[in-house]
Amino acid sequence: MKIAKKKKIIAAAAAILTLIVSTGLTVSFFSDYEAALGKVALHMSGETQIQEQTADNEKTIKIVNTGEQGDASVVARVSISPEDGDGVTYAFEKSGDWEKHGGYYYYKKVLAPGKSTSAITVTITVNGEKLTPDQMDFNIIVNHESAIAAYEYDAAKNVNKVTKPSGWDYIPTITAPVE
Amino acid sequence: MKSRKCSKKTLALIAVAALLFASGGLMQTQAQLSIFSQDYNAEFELDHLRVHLLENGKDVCGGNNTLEHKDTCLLLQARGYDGKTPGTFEPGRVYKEEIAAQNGRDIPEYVRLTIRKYWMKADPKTGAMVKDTTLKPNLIHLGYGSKDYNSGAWTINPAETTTEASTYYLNTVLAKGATSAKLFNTFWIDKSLVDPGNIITNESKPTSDTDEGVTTTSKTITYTYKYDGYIACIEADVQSIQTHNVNDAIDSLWGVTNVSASGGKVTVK
Repeated sequence: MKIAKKKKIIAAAAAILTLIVSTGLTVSFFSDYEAALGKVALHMSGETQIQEQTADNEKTIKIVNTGEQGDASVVARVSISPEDGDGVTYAFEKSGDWEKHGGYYYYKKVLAPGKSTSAITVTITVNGEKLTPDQMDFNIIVNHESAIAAYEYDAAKNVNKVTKPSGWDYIPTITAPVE
Repeated sequence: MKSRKCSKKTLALIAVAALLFASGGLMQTQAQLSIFSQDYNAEFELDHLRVHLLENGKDVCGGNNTLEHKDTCLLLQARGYDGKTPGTFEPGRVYKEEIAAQNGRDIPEYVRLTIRKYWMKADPKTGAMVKDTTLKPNLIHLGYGSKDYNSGAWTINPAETTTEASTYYLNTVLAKGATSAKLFNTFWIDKSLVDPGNIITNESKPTSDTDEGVTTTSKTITYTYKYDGYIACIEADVQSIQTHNVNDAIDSLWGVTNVSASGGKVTVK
């Protein structure tokens, strides 16, 4: 009787072991993973400054993005309104970075923090002659506007295009590659 | 008599142990002395699966990445770490962000990839960055050309899609050493964040200065937007499982009931 009981116990233990082993095989699946995190901070504040230098009969106009590294890039435009007068003429000299449209000169690049536009120079002459500093009694009103540079994607051309800031009726074509 | 029987048994056991020990020693000696032929040498490597997360063709963080330790692995292009000056990230601008999976072993595998998108901002009291749930995750975009993702090679599982996370299954088994088709290839932040309604301040201050006949006048425009300083976060988690008993593995490891695989193809119901 004792031997029979022992045999039964051994058989039961063997069966349990077999079950454990076979169950272990079923749940031992091979798997792997890799995970990563990326973060991008939004820098949506900034500061631009217009700098006008007047000397002799010339006025030189530039816009500077005075933001620090990490601040926003901007688009900029200026309006230049010289005062009318008899025999007074104004000559505008600018590089190809500027485009005149309507009453504004638009800078045709995105202005990154710490960067300055190229200059627009206004030369004043009266009856074809340059004015001396003591004759300078003309107003040239210069206004500048800037807005954070925002883009939209042109899927057909696979390129980013700067969008018109709110309140602006025009923006020159400024593109950035997808990279 | 009893003690004599025991000693006999003990002697027998000692003899068996001695034999086993001797035979083991002999086997070792034989192994050391034997000469094997290179032609008939076979290696068996029992190895687990390996899957890599690729960003723009490179293994993210050199393949040694976990969310706990590598919080700046993705979005390298957008953050300007491709040679550009860091900090020139621009809203609405589309950046190259090619996400794919690569089989890193000699065993085929099935692959899925989960993307989580969310925002963080500075806690006004402590200054620590904390998760923000007010700004919608869908303002953080991943895309594939003009599509949301590469639906020709991957399938999104609606059962595993929330406002924050989505899981995509590679439609076919990923062969040994192979690289999958890209799931995404672009990343951008919605430009609506710079809409006029999100401007907090827009100040203008004039200044003037004259020096040696040169007059300099300046006007400064300062602006701040509502979401300045927010951080857009993307987590990518690629997972792979074996091809044998794959449906049991899907059920057991991935815990989804509407996904199955057969004959190298994955079906999302």
